[in-house]
Amino acid sequence: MLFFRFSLFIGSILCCVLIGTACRDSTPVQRQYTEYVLAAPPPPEDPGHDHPHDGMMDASLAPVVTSPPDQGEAPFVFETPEPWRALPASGMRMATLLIDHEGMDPLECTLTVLGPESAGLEGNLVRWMGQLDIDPPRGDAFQRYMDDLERMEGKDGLQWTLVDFAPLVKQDDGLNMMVGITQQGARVLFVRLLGPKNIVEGERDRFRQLLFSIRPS
Amino acid sequence: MKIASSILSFFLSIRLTVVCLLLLSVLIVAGTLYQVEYGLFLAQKRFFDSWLILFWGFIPFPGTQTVLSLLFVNLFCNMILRFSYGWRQMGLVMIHMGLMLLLAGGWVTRQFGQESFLSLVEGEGSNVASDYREWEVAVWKEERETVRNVTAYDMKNIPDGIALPLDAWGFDLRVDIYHDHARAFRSTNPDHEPRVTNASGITMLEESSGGYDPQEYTPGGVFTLRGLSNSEEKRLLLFGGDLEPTRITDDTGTYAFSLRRKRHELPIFVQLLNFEREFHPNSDIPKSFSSLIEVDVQGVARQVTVEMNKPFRYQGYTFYQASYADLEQGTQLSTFAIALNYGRIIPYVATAMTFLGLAVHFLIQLYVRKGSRDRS
Amino acid sequence: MKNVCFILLVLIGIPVIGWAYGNTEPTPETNARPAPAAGDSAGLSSLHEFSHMAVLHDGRKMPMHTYARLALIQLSGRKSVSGMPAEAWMARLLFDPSSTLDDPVFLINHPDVAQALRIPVNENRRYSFSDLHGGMGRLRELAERAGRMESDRRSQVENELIRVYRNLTIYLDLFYAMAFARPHPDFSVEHPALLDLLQAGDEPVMLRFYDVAERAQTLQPLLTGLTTKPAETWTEVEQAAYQLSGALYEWARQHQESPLFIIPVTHHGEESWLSPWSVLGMGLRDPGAGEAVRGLVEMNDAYLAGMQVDFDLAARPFNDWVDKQLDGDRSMPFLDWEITFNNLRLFSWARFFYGMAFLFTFMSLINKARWLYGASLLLLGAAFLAHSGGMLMRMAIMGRPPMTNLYATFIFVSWVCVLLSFIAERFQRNSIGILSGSVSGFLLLAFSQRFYLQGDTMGQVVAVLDSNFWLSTHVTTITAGYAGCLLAGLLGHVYLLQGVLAPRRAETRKATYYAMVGMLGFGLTFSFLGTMLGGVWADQSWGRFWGWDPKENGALLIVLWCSILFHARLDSMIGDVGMAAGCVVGAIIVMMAWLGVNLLGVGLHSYGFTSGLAMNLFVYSAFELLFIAVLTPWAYKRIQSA
Repeated sequence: MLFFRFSLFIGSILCCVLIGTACRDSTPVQRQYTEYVLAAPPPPEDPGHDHPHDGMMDASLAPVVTSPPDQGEAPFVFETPEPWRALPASGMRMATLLIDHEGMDPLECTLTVLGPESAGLEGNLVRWMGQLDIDPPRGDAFQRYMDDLERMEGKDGLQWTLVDFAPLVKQDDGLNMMVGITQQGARVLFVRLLGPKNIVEGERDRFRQLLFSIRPS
Repeated sequence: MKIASSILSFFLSIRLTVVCLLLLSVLIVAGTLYQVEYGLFLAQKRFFDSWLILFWGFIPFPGTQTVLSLLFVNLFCNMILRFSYGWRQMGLVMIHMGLMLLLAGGWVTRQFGQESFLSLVEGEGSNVASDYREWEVAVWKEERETVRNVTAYDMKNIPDGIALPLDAWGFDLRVDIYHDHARAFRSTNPDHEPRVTNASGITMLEESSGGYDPQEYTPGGVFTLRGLSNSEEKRLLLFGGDLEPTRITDDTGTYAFSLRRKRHELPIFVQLLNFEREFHPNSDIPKSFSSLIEVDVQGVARQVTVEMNKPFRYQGYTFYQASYADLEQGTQLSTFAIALNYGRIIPYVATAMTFLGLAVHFLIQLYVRKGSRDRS
Repeated sequence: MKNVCFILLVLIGIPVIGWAYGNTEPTPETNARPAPAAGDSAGLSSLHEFSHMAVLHDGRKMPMHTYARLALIQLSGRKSVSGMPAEAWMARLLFDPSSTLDDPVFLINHPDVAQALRIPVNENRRYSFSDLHGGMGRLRELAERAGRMESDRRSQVENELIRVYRNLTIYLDLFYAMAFARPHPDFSVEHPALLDLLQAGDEPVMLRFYDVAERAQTLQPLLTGLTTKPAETWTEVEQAAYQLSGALYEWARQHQESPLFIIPVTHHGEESWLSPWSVLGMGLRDPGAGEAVRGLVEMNDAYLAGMQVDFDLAARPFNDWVDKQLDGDRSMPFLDWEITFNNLRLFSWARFFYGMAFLFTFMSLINKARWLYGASLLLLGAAFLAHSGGMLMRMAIMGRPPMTNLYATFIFVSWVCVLLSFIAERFQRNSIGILSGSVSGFLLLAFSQRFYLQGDTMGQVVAVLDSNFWLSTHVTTITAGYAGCLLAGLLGHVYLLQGVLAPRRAETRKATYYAMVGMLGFGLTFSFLGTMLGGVWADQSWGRFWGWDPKENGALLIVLWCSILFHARLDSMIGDVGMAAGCVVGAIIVMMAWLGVNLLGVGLHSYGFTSGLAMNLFVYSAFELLFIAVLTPWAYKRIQSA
């Protein structure tokens, strides 16, 4: 009996200790330590690694371009149309704008600046059509398609070629892409919006608004 | 006294043992099935590390910790009050002592163990490892390139508005907003006057719900810094995804502020010299990977190879080759998993004891039965 | 009455056993082709040297003997076709492929697939290349479409289509693997000047790719000037040379991915294996490899001419060269062992003898004749010997304890079960041991076959599992634990049946009970040790002792269940009958922990996934639960009233 009481007593002390350690402290804990840092040496320059350019590169993911544009300052400025949101730049991408829609992940509108060799319209069109699983029109029809693409002028006089694949997208719930291409000197700017057909359709006005607002910085 | 003796007989009863073991079995099955959809971290949190579970929000069920504690008490009481210690029971005694040791060892690991990781590019070195899930706000004065005296605050359960004093420099850092997982935005409007300072040019944070595993969260917060020499008040935005710390300069020097994974000091400085990887001939099946590191213990340097199944141990810390990555520039990144566990040896001893106990017990049974049959 | 039972058993039993044995062995096909005539291109009398050729497949060096088996099993599910063993068929496929066009090697399980391809449906589900020819285009289209779907959305038919398409690709790859060694119209030369340049004699001739490739240098001077000359002004010789070199280039390009890796080369101390096409593609630069390819061409010639001596004369130096390249590599002598192992079919014999032992022991339980008991014991011993032999050979060949995949664990668990049964029999001498040994040995070995058909069962191991010490200790002990619990479950069945059929024989029942509890104890001990060793291994390798991984949880569940049974018995919560029922439940838990966790596909242990397994497990569990539900109360009542 005595033993039992004793164990009960010890047991309750233990419980209190356990509960005590589990309790959270309300004042933030400060720690101090010494950190030693040794940075990795910069990777060696590799001149022989120029990727052969085959004209079928994806504009918004281009890893290597033979004449890269100025990376210091953003070469163009724009105004984000409400209620789109802008994300910081990364690598080749000048900006990414997010378009929220209820019940799904935000759509992305990407602005990418590349060198002049990426400007070939035919190559780009064929590639984008491939991405959307569209059969490109054959022979003359393709030339006519390119000639019939909409052209517009921006606020500051930039000339845009506008591509909207909606008429070619077969399924109603298929993906569509709207692309605006412009060139200023050695820089080619691609503005690309990809998403479900009907949603992209709904953003068309804002897309044009964006293109209109772009001017060289 | 009747109540006392009925409580005692409750804790002594074998039925309690059977019930607890059954409950544990149910928990294991439920937890394993849960894991398929929700991942290990959540399954562990809900079933295996918890004291109480509410199925469908309202049906209570004891968690693994409760059941194990009950088993421990049950076993303890039985060992004190009920076990007989003759030679015939030696096996049983050993089994159960071993089990108690096992449970105790588990508790020690839970309380005092620590897991972290260290990723190094070839040539890089560090003496601190990162926590998998917890974050800290670290502040240091930039004086020398290779040594930093860091003051850090753990960003765990931090309420908005709380102060993080930095007495060494007379600063007062206050938390305005803090999100465990956030998305960062940057305005590219050149006329926009940023109200916050941030290394990556981020101007706004938005709280977001992360996935199931906190390992994938990226926190962010806005802080107010007071106490600069020009009596200015600066608002800092610190984001977990910043590549560089946010630097503030005043007359006394430049200070770096960083929101980063919590750092754990290691007893040694580790530098990755080289990473090697080998495949089985003509296939993608990895045969082995290993890292050659140089460890610096109070000025004395030596080289050690860490590979899969062959960790490096030092003073209770164990460094395991966990994974690697090929980086764009042709260099490689090696990641080490670091575990600190003072109670490491307990399960080994417990296993040996319990196994011997089992073997001894069943051999004794065999002998006794054979004996009785021979006699009959 | 007893004698009638006896005779009936013999009449039914032996054919059943024979069928079980025979089902996995080569059977002559009903639409077998007539045996080839002597001197026919489709056959050499001895393929000894051919079987010994080393092939690198899935990261492992194996003899052609095994490679042929694996290929044929993958295509057709069987180890032979049209009465030909696998290596004979492989020789035909490599050296004389057009003779295999009518061999029914493509297994198509689902009849809808044949219909979808619009080819006539074959009853025994095996189709030849000629059968499939008509539906080839459709197959490609359907398979590509199915391939683009997400894998968990595909139906059975779609999965089958993809599988058949892949098999067709494999077949074609091997079809052309030695195409360089045979004359082809693309390389026919007529122009006398060209014939002269290529030293191909005076008459127009059809050359082999190899011939042209060997003498490609001689064409160079003719071809270099052509880039600047306009095409209309080319001479006939130049045109012919251009066409020839074009064919050379096209063929080399088309076959660079040939999967037959039989030529080892060493570069900067690193060993790699090339296909003959790769060697040719590199311009036969490595003289040794070039010689090896020439050897292959000679082998092909000899094979087509049916000249055994010439074939061996070409093959032996080839094999010797490969041997020397690897310079006493550990794996080389084991090629022979592996062939012997393949041929001995030890596990099939073990299965056969287990089945016979069961039959005899069953009869001895009814008839009680001493000779029957002796015979059953002997048969069990023979089976165990074959079983052990097979296991040891596998270990020797692989150089590691035999536990790296599911198939191997089945072999080991059944072996432990039989060993334990022998021990039980030694203690009790009442045939229960032999009964449980023969049943567990037979059932587990038979069930293991499904994993054998999945591919190379001696394959290489991922880095994470590559640690001999832990592999031998952890996996060995835990599978021994499984064996103990499974045997206890088996004896639980026996106990319940004894309770229902012979409730008055309390002593035999008690003996069964003690054996069962003994097995359970063994199972608990080793399952516990195995589980803990798993934790130790994990701690040593990855830094955490216990991670709540499904396989760890499964093993823990077994340990917990055994403990529950023992503690419940202690407090008289359950009696003997309850214990027996509990052991049967234990067997279910073992199967779940062993196989079921692989179906969950999560964690570090998902290295043995198979489809159809889920259904098998479900049926098994349902059967066992039904068995318990019916027999437990019945046995209990019968025993009480006895």
